[in-house]
Amino acid sequence: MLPTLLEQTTTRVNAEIDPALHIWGWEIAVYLFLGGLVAGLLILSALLLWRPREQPPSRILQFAPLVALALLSLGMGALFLDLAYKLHVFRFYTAFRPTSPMSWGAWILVLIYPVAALSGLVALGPDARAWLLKKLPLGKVLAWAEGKRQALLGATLAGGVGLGIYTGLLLGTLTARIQWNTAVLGPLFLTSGLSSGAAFLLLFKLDEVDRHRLVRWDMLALVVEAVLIGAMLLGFANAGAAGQLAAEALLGGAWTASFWSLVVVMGIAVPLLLEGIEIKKHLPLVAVTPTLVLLGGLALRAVLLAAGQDSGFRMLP
Amino acid sequence: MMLPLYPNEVFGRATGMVVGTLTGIAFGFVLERSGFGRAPILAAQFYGTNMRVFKVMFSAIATAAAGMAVLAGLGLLDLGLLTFPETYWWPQLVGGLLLGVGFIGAGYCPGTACVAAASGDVGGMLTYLGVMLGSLVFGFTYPVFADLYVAGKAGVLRLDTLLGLPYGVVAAAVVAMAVGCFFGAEALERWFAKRAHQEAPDTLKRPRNRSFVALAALALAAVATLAIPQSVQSAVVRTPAPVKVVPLVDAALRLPESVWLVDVRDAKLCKEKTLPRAVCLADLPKGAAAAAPSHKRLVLIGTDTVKEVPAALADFPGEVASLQGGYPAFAAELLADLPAEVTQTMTPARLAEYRLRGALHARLTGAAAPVAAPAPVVVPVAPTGAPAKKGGGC
Amino acid sequence: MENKTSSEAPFWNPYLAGIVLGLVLLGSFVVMGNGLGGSGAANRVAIGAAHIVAPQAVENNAYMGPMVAPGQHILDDWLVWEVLGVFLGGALAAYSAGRMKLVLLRGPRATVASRLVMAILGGLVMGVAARLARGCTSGQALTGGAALAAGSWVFMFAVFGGGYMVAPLLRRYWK
Repeated sequence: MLPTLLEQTTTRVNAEIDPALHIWGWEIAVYLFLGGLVAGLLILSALLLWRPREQPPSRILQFAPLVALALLSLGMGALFLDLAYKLHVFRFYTAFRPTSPMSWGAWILVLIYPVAALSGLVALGPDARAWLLKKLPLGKVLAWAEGKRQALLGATLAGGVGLGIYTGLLLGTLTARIQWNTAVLGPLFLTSGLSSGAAFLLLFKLDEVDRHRLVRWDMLALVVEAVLIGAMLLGFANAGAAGQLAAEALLGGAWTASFWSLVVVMGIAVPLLLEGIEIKKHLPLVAVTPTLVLLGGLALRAVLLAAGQDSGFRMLP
Repeated sequence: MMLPLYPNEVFGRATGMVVGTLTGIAFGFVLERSGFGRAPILAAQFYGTNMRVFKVMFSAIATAAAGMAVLAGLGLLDLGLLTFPETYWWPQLVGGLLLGVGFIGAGYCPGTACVAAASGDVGGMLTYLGVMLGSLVFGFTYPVFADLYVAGKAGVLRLDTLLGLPYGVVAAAVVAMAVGCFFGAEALERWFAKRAHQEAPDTLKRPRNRSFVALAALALAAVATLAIPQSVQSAVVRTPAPVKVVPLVDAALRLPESVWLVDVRDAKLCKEKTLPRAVCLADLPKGAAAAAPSHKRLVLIGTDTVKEVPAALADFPGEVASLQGGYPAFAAELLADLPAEVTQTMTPARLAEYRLRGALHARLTGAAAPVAAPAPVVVPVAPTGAPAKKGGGC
Repeated sequence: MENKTSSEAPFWNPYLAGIVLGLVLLGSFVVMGNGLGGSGAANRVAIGAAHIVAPQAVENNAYMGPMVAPGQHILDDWLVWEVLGVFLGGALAAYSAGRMKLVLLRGPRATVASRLVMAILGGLVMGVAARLARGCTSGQALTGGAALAAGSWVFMFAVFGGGYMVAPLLRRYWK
C-alpha cells in the first residue's frame, strides 16, 4: 500500500490526481493536418484550374484533386484508428444534426468525394485522359463533367473552404477546453491549410507561372496565419481568467517552446524568409521551404490539440 | 547586475527554450557563412593549406572571452551565475583526441555537420546520424568508460583561478595569443601555397586588419575595467532565495541530482537529525563548494531561514537557496502528525498538495498514509477498468 | 579550392566571421547564462529513439537512465531547441548564399562509397568522444574556451592534436 501511494503522489501522473484526459492522440492531429492540407489543395487547384488553358497545366495540378482525395482517405484512416467503436461509423450517416460540427464534418466529407473526383476528371490533361478512357468506360461522365466545369470547380472550392473551417470548428466548439474556446480557430486552420496545400504543390515540378503564383499565395497565407495567431493570443489575453490561462500556456507555460519554435519560427517565419529570398534573388526553390511549412502546419495542430486537452476550467482557482 | 538574464529570472524556462531556437539560428547562420558547412574547407585545416577553422574559432573565443571580461568588469555581468563546463582532465584529453580523429574522418564536427546537412550535403546528414549512433554506443557501453568518465575531476576550474590572475588579464592574454597565432597561421598558409604553386586563401588585408583592431580594443577594454574600483565587482552579496519544505523534500527524494542540501546548523544538532540526503556543513571537505557542480541548487538548512551564505560555501558557483523556516519548519510540516482534513471539498490543486505532503510524511516517518484515498474529484469520462478507451472525433 | 561557382556568395572573412560568432556566443552567455552546443541534441534524440525501441534497456542504463526518469522529457532541453535553430539558421544562410543543393561533398579522389562510410564512422567516433568529454567542439572547445575553463582548453588542443595525428593517413582521401 505504502509504496504505491508514494509512487502515485510524488510523480503526479496519477489519473485521479491530475486528470489530463489526453484522449485524442496523434491520430487526430494527423487527421486535422491532412484535412487542412486537403482543403488547401482543393481550393488552390480549383483556383488555378478555373480558366481552361491552351497548354495542359503542370502535371501535379492535373492530378491535384485526385491526390487530395487520396490524402483525405489517409486522414480518414487515421480518424478511423482513433474511433473506439469502429463498426459504428455508419451511425454518423443515419442523421444530420445542424448544431453538431461532427455531423457537419461527416457529411462534408461524404459530399467532397464525388465533387472532387469529378473535378479530378476535368483537371486531367489530354495524355492522362486518353490513358484513363482506355482503361475505364468513363467517356460519358467526362463529357458531362466537362460541360459543368466551372460549377464543379466552384463546388470543389466551396467544399474545400467548408472542410478547412470545419477542422478548426471541430475544436472550437469544445468550449470546455479553454485553449480551443476561440472563434479564430476556424479561419486559422483554414489559412494554415491553404499554406500547407500550396507547400505540398511546391514540392513537385511546376510551370513557372503556377509556381510563381503558389509561392506568393503561400506567403500571403503565412502572413495571414501569423496575424490570426496574434489575434488569437490577444483574444485570450482579453478574455478574463480562463483566456489568460489559455494565453499563459503559450506565453511562458508548458507549450511555449513547441508553439513558438515549431509553429511560429520553423513553420512561418523561416519559410517566409526563404520565400522572400527566393523572389528577391531569383533562386531556384528548394524542397526545404515547403517541407518546413508542412511540418509547421502539423505542429500547429499537434500543439493546439495537446495544449487544449491540457487545459480546462478546473485549472481556474 | 542584470546579466545574465535567464539565471536572474528575467524570463522563465519555457521562454528560454524559444531563446534557444533563436540563438541556434544565429549560430547556424554564422557557421554556414564562415564556410563550416563544406567538408573540404574544414579538412584543409589539417593539411595546413587553409587555416580558416582555426582563425574563426580563435577569433570567436577571444571575442567572447574578452567581451565577458568587459561586461563583468563593468559590473553588468555576474560571472558567478554562468554555467561553466566542469573540468575532468582525462576524459577531456582522451575525448578531444578521439573527436579530432572523428573530425578528420567525417570532415565535420557535430555542430558543423548539422549546418552541412541543412545546406544539402549528404555527408553532413550521415555524420550527424553517426554522432547519434556514437552517443548510443557510449551509453550502452558506459560501464567500459565509467572510470575514465570521472577521472581527474577538478570541478569548475578556470584558467584565471588556476593562474591566480584577474579574469580580464587572462582574457586579454587569450586575445593577444590568438592574434599572434593568426600571424603564424598566415605564414604557414603562404608557405604551403608557395609549395603547391597556388594562391594563399583570404589575402584581403582590410577586413583582417580591422578585425585585429577590434580584438585589440576589446582586450584593452578588458584590462582597463580592472582599474574600476573593486567595490563594484565585489558588490555581489548573495541572499539565498527561500524555498518551501514540501517541494524541496519532494525534489530531494525524486531528483536528488538537482539539489545539494547542506545543514548549516550546529554539528551536534545536524548529526542528531536532519533532512533526507542532507549533509552537515562540518563534514564537508575543504574546497567542496567550489568543486560542486554548478547546475545543482545549493539549499541551506538552518535553525530558521538562512539569510547569508556561510563563508565556507561562498565559492559555490550555482544558485543558492535557503529552507524557509529552517529545520523546525521541516519537523513541523512533515514529521509531526498530519491533521486529517476533509478532502472531498478541496480543490484538485489543494488535494494534490495535501496528498504529496501525506506521502512524504509517510515515507519519512514510516507512518501509515494519513487519509484513505477519497473519491476522485473529477469523474473520468471513460468507464474505469478498461485501458483508457479513446473517444471518437471527426 | 573553395568550390565556388559564380552565383554563390563568398564566405565571410574568417576573422570577421569569428568576431560575429564570438558575439553570438557572448549573447548566449549574457542572455541564457550558458554557451552553445552541437552534440547534446544528437545524444538526446538518439536516447529518445532508443527509449521507444527498448525502454527497459535505456531505463536500466547507468548513463542514460537518469535522463529518461519519470517526470522529465528527454527532448525537453535547451540544446535540442538550439540545434533545431542551427539547422534553420544554416538553411537560411546556405539558401540566401545560393549554396543550398543536394550534394555529396568529398575530396577530389574520394569515392562516393568511401565518403558515405567515412561520414558515418567519423560521426560515430565523435559521438562517443563527445559524450566522454561532455561536449564537442561547440560545447567544449568554443564555449568552454571562451569561458576560460581549463579542461576545455585541454580538450581543444587535443582535438587539433588528434586531427593532425591522423590527417597524414587520410591525405589521399581529402587531397
